[in-house]
Amino acid sequence: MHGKDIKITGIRKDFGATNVLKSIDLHVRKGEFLTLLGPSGCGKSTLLRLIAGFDVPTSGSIEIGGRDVTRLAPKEREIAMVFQSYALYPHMTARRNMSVPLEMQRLSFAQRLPGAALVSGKIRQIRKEIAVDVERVCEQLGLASLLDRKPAQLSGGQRQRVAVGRALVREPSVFLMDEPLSNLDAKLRNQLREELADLQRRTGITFVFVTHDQKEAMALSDRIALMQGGQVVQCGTPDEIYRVPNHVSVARFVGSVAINEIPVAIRNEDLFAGPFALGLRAAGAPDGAYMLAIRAEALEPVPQSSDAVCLQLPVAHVEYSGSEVFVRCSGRDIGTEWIRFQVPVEQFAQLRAGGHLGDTVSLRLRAHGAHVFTLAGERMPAVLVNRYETNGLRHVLSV
Amino acid sequence: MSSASNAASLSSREVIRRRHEALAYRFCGPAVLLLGLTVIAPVLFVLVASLTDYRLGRTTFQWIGLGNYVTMFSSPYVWQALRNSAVYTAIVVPLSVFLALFVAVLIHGRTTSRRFYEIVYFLPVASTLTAMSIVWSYVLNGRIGPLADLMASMGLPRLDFFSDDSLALSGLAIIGIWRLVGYNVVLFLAGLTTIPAEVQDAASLDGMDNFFDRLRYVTWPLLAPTTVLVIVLNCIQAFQVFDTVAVLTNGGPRGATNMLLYEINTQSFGSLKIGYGSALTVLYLILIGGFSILQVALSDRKGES
Repeated sequence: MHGKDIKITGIRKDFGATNVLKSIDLHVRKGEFLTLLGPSGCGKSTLLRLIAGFDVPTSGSIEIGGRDVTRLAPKEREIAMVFQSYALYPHMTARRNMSVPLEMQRLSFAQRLPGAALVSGKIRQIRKEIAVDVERVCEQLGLASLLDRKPAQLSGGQRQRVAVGRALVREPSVFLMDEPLSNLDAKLRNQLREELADLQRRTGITFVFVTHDQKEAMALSDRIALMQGGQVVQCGTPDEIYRVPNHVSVARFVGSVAINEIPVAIRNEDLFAGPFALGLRAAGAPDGAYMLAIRAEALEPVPQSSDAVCLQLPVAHVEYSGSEVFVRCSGRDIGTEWIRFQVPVEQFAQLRAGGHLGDTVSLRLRAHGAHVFTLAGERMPAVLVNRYETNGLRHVLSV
Repeated sequence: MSSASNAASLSSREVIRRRHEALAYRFCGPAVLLLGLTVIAPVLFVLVASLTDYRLGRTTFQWIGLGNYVTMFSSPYVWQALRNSAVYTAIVVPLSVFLALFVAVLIHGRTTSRRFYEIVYFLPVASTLTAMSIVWSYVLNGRIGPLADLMASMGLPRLDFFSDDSLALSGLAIIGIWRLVGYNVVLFLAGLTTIPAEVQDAASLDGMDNFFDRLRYVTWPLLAPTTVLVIVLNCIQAFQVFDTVAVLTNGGPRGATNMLLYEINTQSFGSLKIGYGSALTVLYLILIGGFSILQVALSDRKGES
């Protein structure tokens, strides 16, 4: 088995008067694990269905392995798919579920008629080969003991594995998955996530995975295509998506804690939020109003006597979660609703003991983890650096 | 103190429960009364009457025990009616089930014209069968009917369905199928909407995309519960055929289309033998009841798996 690349060019899809996909260009590399990530209604499932061939795009083309498949039937595309509901055939055993696709592939209509195997040795031979292939895939996935059960007698995770098995037996070049883990409980989801990653590495098939769960996307993908409003907003490695979001909506969507957004002004390359100088410099940025998006982990609480330039905010709520403490501050003074940050428990205790984290807190902003966007949401190309000095060393933390 | 108040609250709860129960019975009351008057009482009356020699219009009757049943099972007319009903059912049910399954799958695949076809196929069900029988008697007429004209123009013999005792039952069956297909199509279409779209997608991905493969591997097996229901309902309806017999053939020619319900009608209201007719009705009730029990048993089995 080996994967093939998918080249999506200028795909547009309308359902009646509703435009679902605007203009998608995407190149999925051979053997890559690519995730289509986005909120519900962003068009990610529609795009997957177009790749699968269940729908025909309004315009644009799709090539798999250099072959134009835009108007080919699903079965002619060398693809397999795992559905959110698994979509197993409920009246067939797990074994039948997995062997039927092969029968359709290898036997003609006449050869599949009931009783045909009784008259022809060749058909018996083909059926034997199918049984062997099914067994082989079952061993790979640890399904052997479940083969004679019907889907209703299987648990969610087992059904999921049978669905993966049914997709794998056909030896596809491209493996499509539409939120295959969302119906499972958290523990099972993590386990199957690892199994999928192993499977992809072992088989070298090209995976296209659809999810709205950014954690899942981060954990599994070689690259993520982040979609919003029928467009791919950014396509890159999980690290790029997280560290260099090219649009404020990307910054908002990824990350386990909501990113803080602060309206800022840039004067002479210095950043200001309301009355506070933020201690950040945006080299080469023209003066004007911007939006600063900063991750919770890039906000560092400091002692209030500290001479570093910082934000002083009233504390609104403190939330413990094991090793970390999440703090929510009111951002009214700086023109936003809430500012959220997190500190390790020990540091939180120290600050509180020193009287530095009570009704108010002082926060230092780290350039690493902060991004400046125009008010329209586009990323500012200017490099952001910290401009304070400590211990005589100039910290220059660029992106 | 506390146990006393507990007991008090328990008994007050008991009072409330009883009051609810009484209310529930009162709500059931009208339905039970109607059911008793319209279904249970007539059935009891028929059972009692079948043990008498009562004739319509007479003021006296005599108990004759199982005499009516003895007469019934030794009557060649009854056996012929039963055989005709069975043959009619055997023709009508399979054909109308398969045709309807076919048509329903085809209609289900349409998008814009779906409504139109649904209405077209449902029209026979909505129309009055008595009136439609007269239209059919014209269509199937051997001298002036368009079907006979068509067959003659192709060099085939002109079939006159309702004057030929070997064809009359088939003629009625054609009308029966015409009507049942529409009814079944509606049931199958309802069944088809319960098949998940993702399973259909999976099937097209797995190569089951020609009409017969899709039907064989996915659609029909998933429609199994609907199919059982349709078959049983059709059997009941086929055993109940009456309108077309009464309007078109009166059971003839030479008893070729005399069916169970028509025989009951002839005996009870033609010959005014209410007692004998009641015995026939009991037989009819047992047959229909049998189909209903079969359906419940089969659908329960489906529910378990």
